[in-house]
Formats: sequence, C-alpha cells, structure tokens
Amino acid sequence: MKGDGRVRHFILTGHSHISEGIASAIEFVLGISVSYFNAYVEGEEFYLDKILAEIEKYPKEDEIIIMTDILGGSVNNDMMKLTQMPNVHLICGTNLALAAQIVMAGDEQDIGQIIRQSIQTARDGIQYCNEVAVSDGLDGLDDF
Amino acid sequence: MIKLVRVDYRLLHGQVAFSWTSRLGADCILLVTDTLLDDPIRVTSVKLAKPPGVKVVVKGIEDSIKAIKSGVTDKYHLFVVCETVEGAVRLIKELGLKELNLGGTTPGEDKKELGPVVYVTKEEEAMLKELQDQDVNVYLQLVPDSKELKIKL
Repeated sequence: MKGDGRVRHFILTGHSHISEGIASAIEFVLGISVSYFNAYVEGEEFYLDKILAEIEKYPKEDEIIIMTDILGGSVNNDMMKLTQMPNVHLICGTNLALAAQIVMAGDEQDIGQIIRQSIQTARDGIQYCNEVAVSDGLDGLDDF
Repeated sequence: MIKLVRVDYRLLHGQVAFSWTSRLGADCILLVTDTLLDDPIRVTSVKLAKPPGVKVVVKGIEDSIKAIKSGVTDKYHLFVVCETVEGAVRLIKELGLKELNLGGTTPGEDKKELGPVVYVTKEEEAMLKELQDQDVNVYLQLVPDSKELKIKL
C-alpha cells in the first residue's frame, strides 16, 4: 500500500493458460502471487465476467493494472473498454520480464512511469541469442 | 557489508538477479566461481543477466576471500553467490560468518537431496554439519518470500 492509501491490483489475462503460466513463473521466481484469468478455457466461467466482478470489489481510487497476452487479440480488445476507467492501466504483449518488473516495482514511483520503463526493459530482453556476441573474459563485468 | 552468502550453481539468474538482490538491497553481487571464466557461453550469459544498477564481480574462491578480507568490499551491500558448497564453506569459515543460504546445487547419483534443488555429497554434508556445529545458521530458501527451511544434518 502506498502512503496515500491507494492499493495497486495486478491482473494477468490472456488466451488459454498463458496468464496462469506467467503467474506461476512469477510465483516461482519472485515468490509473489498475482491474480490471473484464463480466457476461453473449457469448463471455466467466462473470463470477462470474472474480471469485471473482481474489479467491482476494488475501491474506486485504487490502481488496477491489467496485463494481456497480445495486441489485437480478443482479450486485449475486451480490456480496451476498461481503459475508460481512469484508474485502469492496460498493457499488452506481456511476457515474464515485463510482468515481473511491474509487480515487483516499489509503491513510491508513479505507475505510468513504472509501466513505460518496464516495457522498454522487456523489449530489450527480447533477443536472437545466436546473434548475441559471445564475449569471454571479464570485459563488461565489474571489479570492486 | 555482506548481506548474504548463498550457494547457487546457476550463479546469476532470475531468482538471484531479481528477487534476492532487490530484497537484500544489494548493490554488488560477487560470483564466487573457479570455473565460469573457462566457458565463454556461460560468461556471456552472466553478462546478459546483469541486473541494471548493480555491480557484478566474478572471482575465484581464494581471490574472493582475499578481496573481502582486504576491506575493498566494505562500502558495498554485498550479495555473495557461491557456485559450490565447498567454496561457500571455505568463505564462511575464513570470514567467520554466521549464516549460509542454500539455493541450488546440481543433482548426482552419489548425492543426497536435502530439499528442493539442493543435493550434496557425503563430503559436502559433513562440511555443512561442521558449520552448523559452529553455530552457523545453514538453511534452504529459494526466494525471499518462501520460508527458511532448517536442515538437519
């Protein structure tokens, strides 16, 4: 909770089990548990209804950060409507690096700033590893 | 100041680079390894995994002990990650430290499982037992939010 009493809520959602997978990896790496909503999984209640019900529970002044799997996908399209609420922040193209940074960021910094920085860092983390120059020795590492 | 000494054969990876470093408020990570520099691909991976704003120093076991004893590390909030149990035990003993976090070692046929991702040989088990007998708190903990798991040796 921040000094002003507003709470940040994080929601992961996306097609099939992708958000559950990201949540499970965050739990493993960071030990932080994040809410997720699987979309279109057989036998589960419609995800949008569940998200709306979840959001209803939060006080209006709280910040809600929704992270979806893919730009232009139906899940993100559904979530777009929610950005009309001033306290909802929507991010698409979520991967583990992006979600992890956002949920572990401190409470002090402005959420918009956290999101912009995290997107940049996550982008930088997408690499064709075969083309990453192999560099042996201590170059690029530090000393005391 | 040493914030924590951990055994983790993976050296610098997600749990270390993100969870522990931020929780400990570490500004410098010392990777204690005698083998890393022999493998360019592993060295490259370590460089890629470097968290922003944190120094990452790689040294062998002897050099690590020497550096810490010399006082050059005093100004840092230092997080020490040792590749092997043996290296960690030597460091703990030489520096008279009182806490050792076991975060991950490789499995093997002749090894006993102490808990999740931690496997030790008979010799390593004896070394850890000796530490415990000297009142060093030896425990298993993968990430800061999980509980410390005391081990019985």
